Amino acid sequence: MNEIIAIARNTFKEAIRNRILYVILMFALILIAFSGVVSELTIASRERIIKDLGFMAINLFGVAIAVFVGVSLVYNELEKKTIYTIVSKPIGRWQFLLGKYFGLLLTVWFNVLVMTFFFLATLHFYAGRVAPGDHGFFYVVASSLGKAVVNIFNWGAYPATHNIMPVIAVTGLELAIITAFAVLYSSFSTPTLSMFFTVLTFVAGRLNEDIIRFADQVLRNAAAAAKEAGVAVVKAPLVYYFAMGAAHVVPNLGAYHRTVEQAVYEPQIQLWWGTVVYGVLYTIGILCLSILIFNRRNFK
Amino acid sequence: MGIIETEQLSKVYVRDVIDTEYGRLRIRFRNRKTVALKNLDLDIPKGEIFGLLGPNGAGKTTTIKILMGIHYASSGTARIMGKPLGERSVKKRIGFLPENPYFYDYLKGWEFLDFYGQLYGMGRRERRAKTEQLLSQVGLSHAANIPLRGYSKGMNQRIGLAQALMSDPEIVVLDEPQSGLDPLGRKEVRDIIISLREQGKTVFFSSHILSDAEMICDRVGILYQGELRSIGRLGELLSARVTEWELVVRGVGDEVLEPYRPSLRRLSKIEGDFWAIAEQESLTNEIISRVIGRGGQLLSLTPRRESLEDFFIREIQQGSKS
Repeated sequence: MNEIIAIARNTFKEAIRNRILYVILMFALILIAFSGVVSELTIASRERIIKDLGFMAINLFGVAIAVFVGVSLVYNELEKKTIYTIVSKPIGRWQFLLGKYFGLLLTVWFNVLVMTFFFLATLHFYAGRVAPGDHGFFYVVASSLGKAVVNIFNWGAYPATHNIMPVIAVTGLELAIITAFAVLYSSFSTPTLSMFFTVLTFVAGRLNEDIIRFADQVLRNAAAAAKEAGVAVVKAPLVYYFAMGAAHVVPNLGAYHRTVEQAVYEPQIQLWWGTVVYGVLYTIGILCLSILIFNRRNFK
Repeated sequence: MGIIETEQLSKVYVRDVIDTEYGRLRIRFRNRKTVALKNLDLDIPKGEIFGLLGPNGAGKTTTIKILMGIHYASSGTARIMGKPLGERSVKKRIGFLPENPYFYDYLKGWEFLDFYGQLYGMGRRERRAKTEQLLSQVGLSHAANIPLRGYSKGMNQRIGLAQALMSDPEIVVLDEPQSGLDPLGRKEVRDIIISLREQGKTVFFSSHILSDAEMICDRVGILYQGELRSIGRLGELLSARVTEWELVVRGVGDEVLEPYRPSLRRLSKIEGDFWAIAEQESLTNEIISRVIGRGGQLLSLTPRRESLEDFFIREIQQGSKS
């Protein structure tokens, strides 16, 4: 366990000293801060716009960090041959890979937390601006920063933001799955390909439920056609099996996305614990697969 | 029974290649095999300094990579301390420095050693004490708080050596520990290796610098094209004729050595020390007596015998004749 912690800590140090991380983070923070400005230009509810853009920024930039930082982490160790001194030490390759994963996940979560802090502060800021008894700009800024800190530790401290943190936790879990994929791909392929595969997995994961819906529709059409032709046994077309197969291989991220949507459009969110268990099991599965591949590798 | 043993160890690299011929539109997938190591038998006794020598591409690094668990052997077996490769209890007692090491350059010197100490499962206090001791042993105490990206090549090599000694290992495996170092740097590495022997450790290292190997090795094995051509003491393997002498002297002015420049193969000044290469024994003796006569100091004298390349050419020529 200590070995995994040592590798994870070192990975976190490496990632946190990577410049690309700050560029991504900066973009995310700018987007979150400007969500308030954008909300003034629209007809829809201001709070909804800020939440929508904020969640989107945290989600997309979280994935961007997992992808940009993650895919090169394992590859760099191989390319720069630092892996040589690691695998010759009394640690297993699986410990190395898990250490890398947790280090990367820690980096992603840390950045999500920073973005969330600004997101909460933005929400509190705009809520404070419209509240009766205007206290002036700097007072509102300071109080919204303070409220954001309180909110991170006490999730239900303010009614306006009571469901933000649970959704962030769900997003964190979704990012844990994506990070596992980034590590999986980078354990056997180049950074560019890994990046491509990881983004593809994310998109496919988000569309998973649509793929299932599409497969169902195909089956329904086939059934209707069979009924019309008077055939008793419905034969599902090949595309149905293909779509269902694909839907079962890629992760189902639709449930995570729905939670985010609920937080934006509905007063209450419904957390289904199956989603949490699914995420954890899926991540474990992907990590096991990565270890299996990594164990068999000859390093250049 | 040796502390490191290999039996019929072989490694074949298989690479997938795609042949394309657009003329007749033929695409073919096939494997290209490269034999990197052929049936290597080694038996290194405890406490020996063993040098694995050979030109680039001879299979030295492949052998070390297999022993260190970085690559898997295609066939044959290897045992370290009587146990199969990869055994964790054995890995704990091995220190390893790879060739041209690149380390985590965002870490400071002490952070770097501390990290490796953690991988060995050492406690915080033990790590701190060992880090301090090793930094001073390799002469890097002053650079403990500098990130590794600020290190020179020689410093990098030395911190790499310190990393290999972190767990006070019984076996130290070094891949080209002296490559890219100047004569003084090489000497420092040599001294460290010799001190390891004095502590009773077994040192297994690869090199293509014969003179350095000759000075420190108890025994050498010579690899060429993946095969072990000969094994034994270097002096027995190579022709005894010295072709040149390398001198490092200190404490004399330019006027003492400058007159010899035309007859020397090389003369340079490094941090106040002179580094010279002479091709005649008489000239070497004359320079030494003059330096000592003027109150100077002879830091090192390295007679260079037939080079590894000459040896191979000789062996290959002999092989083709027979």
